[in-house]
Amino acid sequence: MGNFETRRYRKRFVVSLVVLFIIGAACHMVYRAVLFKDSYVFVTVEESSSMALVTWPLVSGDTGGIFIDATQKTLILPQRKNLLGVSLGVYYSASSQGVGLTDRLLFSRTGKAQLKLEEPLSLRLPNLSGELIEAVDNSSRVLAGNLQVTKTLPDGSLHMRYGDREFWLRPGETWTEVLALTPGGKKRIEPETWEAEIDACLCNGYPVTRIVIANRGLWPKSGVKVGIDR
Amino acid sequence: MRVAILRRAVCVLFLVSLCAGFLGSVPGAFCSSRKVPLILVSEPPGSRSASGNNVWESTGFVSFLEKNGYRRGENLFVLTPEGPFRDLLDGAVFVREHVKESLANTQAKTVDIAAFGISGLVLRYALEAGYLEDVTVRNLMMLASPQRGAFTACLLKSLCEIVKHEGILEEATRVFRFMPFGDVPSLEDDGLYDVNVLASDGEPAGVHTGAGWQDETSYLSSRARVYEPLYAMYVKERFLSVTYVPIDSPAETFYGWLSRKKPSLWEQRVVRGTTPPLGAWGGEGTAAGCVLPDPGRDLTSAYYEILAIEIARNQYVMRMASRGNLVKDLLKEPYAPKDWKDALAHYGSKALLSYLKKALITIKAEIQEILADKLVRMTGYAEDPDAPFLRRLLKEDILVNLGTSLGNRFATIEVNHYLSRFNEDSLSRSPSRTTRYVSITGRVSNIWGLAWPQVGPNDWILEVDTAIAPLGPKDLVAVFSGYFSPSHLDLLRDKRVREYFLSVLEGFRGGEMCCWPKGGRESRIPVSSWRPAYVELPPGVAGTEYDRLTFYLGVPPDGWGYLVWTEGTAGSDWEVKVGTEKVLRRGGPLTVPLSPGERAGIRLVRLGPLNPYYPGGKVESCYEKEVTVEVPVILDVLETGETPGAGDTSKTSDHVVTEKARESELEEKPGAQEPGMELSGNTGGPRSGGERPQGPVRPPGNDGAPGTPGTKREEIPPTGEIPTIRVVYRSKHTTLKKAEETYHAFWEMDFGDGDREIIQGLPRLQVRHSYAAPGIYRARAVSYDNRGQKILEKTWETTVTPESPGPFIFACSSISPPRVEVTLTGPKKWVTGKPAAFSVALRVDLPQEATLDKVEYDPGERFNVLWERAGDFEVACAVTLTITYRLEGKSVSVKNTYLQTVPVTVLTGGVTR
Repeated sequence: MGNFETRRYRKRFVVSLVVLFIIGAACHMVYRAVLFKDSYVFVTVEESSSMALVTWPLVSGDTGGIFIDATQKTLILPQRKNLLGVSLGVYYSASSQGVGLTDRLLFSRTGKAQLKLEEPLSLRLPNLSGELIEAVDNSSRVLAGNLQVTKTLPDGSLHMRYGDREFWLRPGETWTEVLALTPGGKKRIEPETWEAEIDACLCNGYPVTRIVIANRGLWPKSGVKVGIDR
Repeated sequence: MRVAILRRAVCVLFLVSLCAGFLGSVPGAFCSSRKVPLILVSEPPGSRSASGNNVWESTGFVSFLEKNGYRRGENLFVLTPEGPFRDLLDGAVFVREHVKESLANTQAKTVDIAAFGISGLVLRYALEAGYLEDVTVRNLMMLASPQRGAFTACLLKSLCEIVKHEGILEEATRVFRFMPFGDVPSLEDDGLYDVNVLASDGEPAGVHTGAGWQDETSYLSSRARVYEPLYAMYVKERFLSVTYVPIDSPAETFYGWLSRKKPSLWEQRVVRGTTPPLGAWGGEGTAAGCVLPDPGRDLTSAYYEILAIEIARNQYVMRMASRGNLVKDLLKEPYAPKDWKDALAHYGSKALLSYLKKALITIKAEIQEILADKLVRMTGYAEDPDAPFLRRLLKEDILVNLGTSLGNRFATIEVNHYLSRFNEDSLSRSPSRTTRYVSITGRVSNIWGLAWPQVGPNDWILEVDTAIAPLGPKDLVAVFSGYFSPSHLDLLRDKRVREYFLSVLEGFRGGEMCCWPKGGRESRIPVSSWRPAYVELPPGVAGTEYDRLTFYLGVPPDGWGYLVWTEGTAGSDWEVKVGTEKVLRRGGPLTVPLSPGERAGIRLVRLGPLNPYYPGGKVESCYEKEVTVEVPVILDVLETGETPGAGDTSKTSDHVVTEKARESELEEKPGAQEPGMELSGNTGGPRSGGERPQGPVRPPGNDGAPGTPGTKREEIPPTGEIPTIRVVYRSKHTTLKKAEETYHAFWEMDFGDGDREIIQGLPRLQVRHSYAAPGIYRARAVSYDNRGQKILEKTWETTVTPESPGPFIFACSSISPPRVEVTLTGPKKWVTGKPAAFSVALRVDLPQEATLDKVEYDPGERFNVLWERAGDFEVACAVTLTITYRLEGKSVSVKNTYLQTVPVTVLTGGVTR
């Protein structure tokens, strides 16, 4: 009898904990939704490589159909998005030799996001027999790891983790890193000598990749529009 | 007797029903002979219509026509070109010969021709260049035809040029690439990279070789040599710089970067490159001369710059992709092999990979040439990439994606100089053309827009606006929309298209006719962008000697104007009276004199750009939907004594007279508009606050306004609701009213005992005064306003006695200024050519003794501003309040005007035509 009662109390306790957790999580979500009712923090992540494209896509258009107007704080998307509760928008674009390879836009309701930068990119082109060949040389993308947005504050500040480093980005701040793959391994290009170092890398055929993370601040949700017809 | 009559009646009924049944069972047997012969022209073989060469038969369109009374070989003929057209001229010759051959047995002199796809452009060329002189073409129906070029042809041309130049680069660097110590020459080695030269704006003179024209390929090569180092600089600055701070859109393209960083080069070479490299083409072949321009005289310099930029990009990528040599690759990651087998495996695989990478470039270049060749043939546009017909199909102008911001997202680049000239010529001769052009096209979901945002609404092959032929007075347009159908491939299968096609041939689509109410002189007519509308004299009036119609034209929709003309009967047909046509860019009353046997025609014509681009990132179509405006029309019968000559004069200068009258009227008004700012609404006078702003012109009524004598008419509500103000010069404002406020400024106080005082401010006066001696004193207070004008006066009679020596208090109220907040809401940044909407919000806090009688807004509570040039402007609005104050038992009314101004930066909207 006693065991039965204990088990019943234990079960009730667990259920109560779960219910409390759910209520807490729901309250937190509602709280964030209220905080970010009309705006969201917008961050752009630009990855650009010097020689990740081994061939030229003959007919190249704009990737993705996403258009960003930083001056008007407007996003033009190919299709409608539900922005209820969204607190963070991350736009990621990858390019090489000035040619867009991919881009994507993530919206997060929790204020957290992960970009798996180390995942291989793909751009496939047909060969003579109609088979698709890969145009992206992923080994020429020099990256320190994946990128995570771990925290989004209501004032627009972001806490991020890239590779093994963590940093805060306040609205309007930019974080840049250029890595080159030299015979001695990955090398960080210093801001003071970047021009000479980049020239040397291009001349020697060493791959270079730059990551620029820009916290564009709080953008109005009313500025997210649909641009492509139908 | 009765039975006999009954039998006869039954027999007659039986025979009648038999005949009717026979006629009913074979509808075409009697109808076909009456039909005007119809010639259907397909696209050349290899066309995009996957269902075969003859699109008319494969889609079942021929069967459809046969079911509707056409007989093949008798009044229905189908022409299929044997191969792709080499040029427009070959196409025209083919059409002439086959039309003649088809009609040889029919003896017909009048035909209807329908052409699908690129054959539509060929047919129009053949007709306008006089290749179809032997027959009268009643209707030329062009279905999904690239009348103003096709974006797919532009893609194809660009692809072919990139492939060709990649092949040239590959061949030039092949030896270097395969040598063990060799490498692809870098930009520096090629003498293309000079930082000092590149840092300056303008053309990098050091690398600019071969500016003259030898042939298209060498010209493009020389231009690509200019852009390749710039592209390298762009990549380095934009994509590899450590100091780069992203401010603008991450989607800024090389074109956007060039226009920003090298404005002089962009301006000189791209923006102003509106003529071909060998100079403007003389137009020898637009219609009569039939001499088509050679390369160097047909496409603009600006387009060659765009092509050169694309080639340069490709060459830069190829150069970067094939950098390195065998030795470098082998020594890249030093490795100590265990034995000779291990060394062979390691370095062998490295060498193989290195050569594979080199070989890939060669293979790619070769494959691409084959693919491009196949692709060109597959489209049916031309037999090979160098065929002149592909050039003819390039669009008149293209939008280039700058990717910078919404206002500057695109720039318009003129491309096909020849096609522009051909279409301009076609448009100018359209009133005298007897053939009616019918442009039919489809519109489906714009999937191209996902990759190329500059592509407007289309049918997957052709943009809607480019499928519409230059429109003359009588021409028709029909666009059929759907999510996935009717696309270019199944346009002829669409039921709506078939019904429309047949109704045009059967004469049911001539245009909208004005319906007069019985005995009435006033009516309304829907004026459309797709078809003409006609006003004939009502039956009771048609017999009089001279009559005139007055159209009360509202402000035309943005980018549109009115085309008004007169037609007379020639035999059984109506013909445009050449010289009577007028294009009106703005609204106003227009009087058209009509003789018996004449009618007036009116339609909307496009004056703004095709495929307009609006902020919001979307390229629109101006023809995809029918634009209609309802126009009031009033018939006046000339009184006896009015001479026909007067009518004749007004026939040619009606609108000019009207405009002058309006201008002189404006000159007399203090708030008249200044040059460079046209008020498309009324003359800019204030409007009452509660009312919606009125349209541009009110028809003359019985209020003493000028009207036709002897006619009494009801007031017709004007069209147009929100005034649109066109601004040309930067100094112009949207209102000419000045801020003006009347309020109390000071009191002049006379206490009646020789003591006087000036009291500044204090609308609610309260002063104390003591008199020195008893007596009766007459005190006086006068309130003056801020301009020194007297507002009111108050007097007091004060008796001072020893019992009541004072002091005495004198109190009086004057005009207290109200607290007024005027908020003008509208965009801070805008583009030219598109009306920006502004609205005025008013908040008034009045003193207790005041009441607000009237609120007037100028130019309106809501108004649009349309800028015709870029720059920094100010938009202003004025609110005039009429306030009545109850002061000391009297009413005092004042009129205060409050101004609100907002700065607006206007950018060029990417569309310049």
